[in-house]
Amino acid sequence: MTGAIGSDDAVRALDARLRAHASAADEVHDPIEYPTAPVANPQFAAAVRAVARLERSTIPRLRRMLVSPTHLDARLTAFFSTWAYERYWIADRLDQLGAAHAGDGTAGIPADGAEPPVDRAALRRDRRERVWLLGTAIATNLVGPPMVAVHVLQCLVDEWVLDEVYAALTAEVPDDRSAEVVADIRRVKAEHAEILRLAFALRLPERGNGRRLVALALRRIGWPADAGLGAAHLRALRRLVRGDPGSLSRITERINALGLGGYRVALLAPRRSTVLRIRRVK
Amino acid sequence: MAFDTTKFARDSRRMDWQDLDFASFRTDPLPPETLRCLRYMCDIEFHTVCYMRDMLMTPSQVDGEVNTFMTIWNREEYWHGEALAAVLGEHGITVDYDALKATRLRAGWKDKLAPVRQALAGMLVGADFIAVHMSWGAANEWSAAAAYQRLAAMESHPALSPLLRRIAKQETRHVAFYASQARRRLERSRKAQLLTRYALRKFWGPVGSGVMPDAEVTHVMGHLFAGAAGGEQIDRIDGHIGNLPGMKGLTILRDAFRSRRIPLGAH
Repeated sequence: MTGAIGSDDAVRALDARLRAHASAADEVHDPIEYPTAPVANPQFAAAVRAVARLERSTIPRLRRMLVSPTHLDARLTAFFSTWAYERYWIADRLDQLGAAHAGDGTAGIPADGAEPPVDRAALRRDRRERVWLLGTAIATNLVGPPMVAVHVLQCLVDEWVLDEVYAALTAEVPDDRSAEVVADIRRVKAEHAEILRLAFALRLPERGNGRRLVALALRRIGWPADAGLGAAHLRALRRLVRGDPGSLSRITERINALGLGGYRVALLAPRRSTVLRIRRVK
Repeated sequence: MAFDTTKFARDSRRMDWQDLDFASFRTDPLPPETLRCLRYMCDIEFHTVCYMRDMLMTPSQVDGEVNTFMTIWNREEYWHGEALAAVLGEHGITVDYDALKATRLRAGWKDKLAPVRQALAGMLVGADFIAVHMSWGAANEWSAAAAYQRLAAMESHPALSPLLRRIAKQETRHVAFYASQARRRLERSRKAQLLTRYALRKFWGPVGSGVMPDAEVTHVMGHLFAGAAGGEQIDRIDGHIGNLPGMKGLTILRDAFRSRRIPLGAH
């Protein structure tokens, strides 16, 4: 199986974009200041804390990708350096929004903070995942380059769903200062999605088993991918995703523009560990 | 003193070289052996992500402090690579992503199975395995900081030397993290001390020896740590490692140089 071979121009354009993205990453992370203290809004606080948990799950996600052939792709690993950095600070900004609007300090979802305490459940989850990664490392390296396309696709779909989630946050943001913060985050996220889209186009195998494998992986994507989310996180995310009836069709349109066949994005019933699934349209 | 990861993250900046007179490389170009060293260092900085991957396969991944450090550290090292690539670019040497990928591919299954080995060792040994990684990281970062300082002193170039000192300064902050983590974890476990001592003595090699060809490792280390001053640096780093709990008397750098027949200065 082989990976896609992109034109030299497309590769050069991606390289230039990667370097511009790395250079443009904001390095000033002063605390968010409000002209007047925000009014308590526990629902908004819970929502931003749930999204913060997703943004903070970058390192476990990187681990899953780096044990595979994806770690050989120096373009992607260069992108991941800035991507992880920006997501780290996005989570920090969201935590600040959560703290400012929590009111009583809980909002149904406690704040994670940059360095949440390690509990037994997290240790057990980590151990289980490391066992799973042993097999994954061998299997994905046997499959080879199509796995890189699969990983980029998973990240891309995640960014597309998050784009809708941030749009929902924008719709319910309670004050101008918070609106500016969310708008800044959306600008950064839009660049992540665009780079991933360009990278995916260059890595999607043109035909054969590799392409079929990527299509199969697309059907297996569930959102959110495991980020150690509790029931309250999932409730908050489900509420954001279903808030705008057009959000699922917009994600579906983007997925169907990938050229991997027809799909639809389905909202799953409450109490499931994922909010969305991608289904093949026969 | 404990390492403050929050402050480290907040203070972190990408390596900047726009204020340095890179045009001076055209009038005062670097000699080939220095460029060879810079190429090696550049590659290694870009390959940091491979070391991070191995680290993430240990139980350390659930530690938020470690995650914060890894995120920031990986980005700083990426920018070290970019800065060195810019210097090489001034000499007509292009460091592109395809060449970096080719270097990683050359390592073959040994590299691909590295996370499997790390995960298995982490499961067998438990949390004490993190001490090995932290001590290993400290040895690597001490070596890297010393290498940059040595090259800066050897070249005394108006653009290169200040750049290398800036990189060395960031590497010194990385040392602080690894050394403080290693010290803390070694202090509380005799098992961690024995295991770390064994791993360092048996398996440690100069930074980059896992990915770069042996001939490059020998050339670069021999060039950077040549003479009495180089020998003193090696002994100083061995001294730092020897000061970690349970590591007294270890001379892993000197041993690694000797086993590779790299000439060393005064002992």
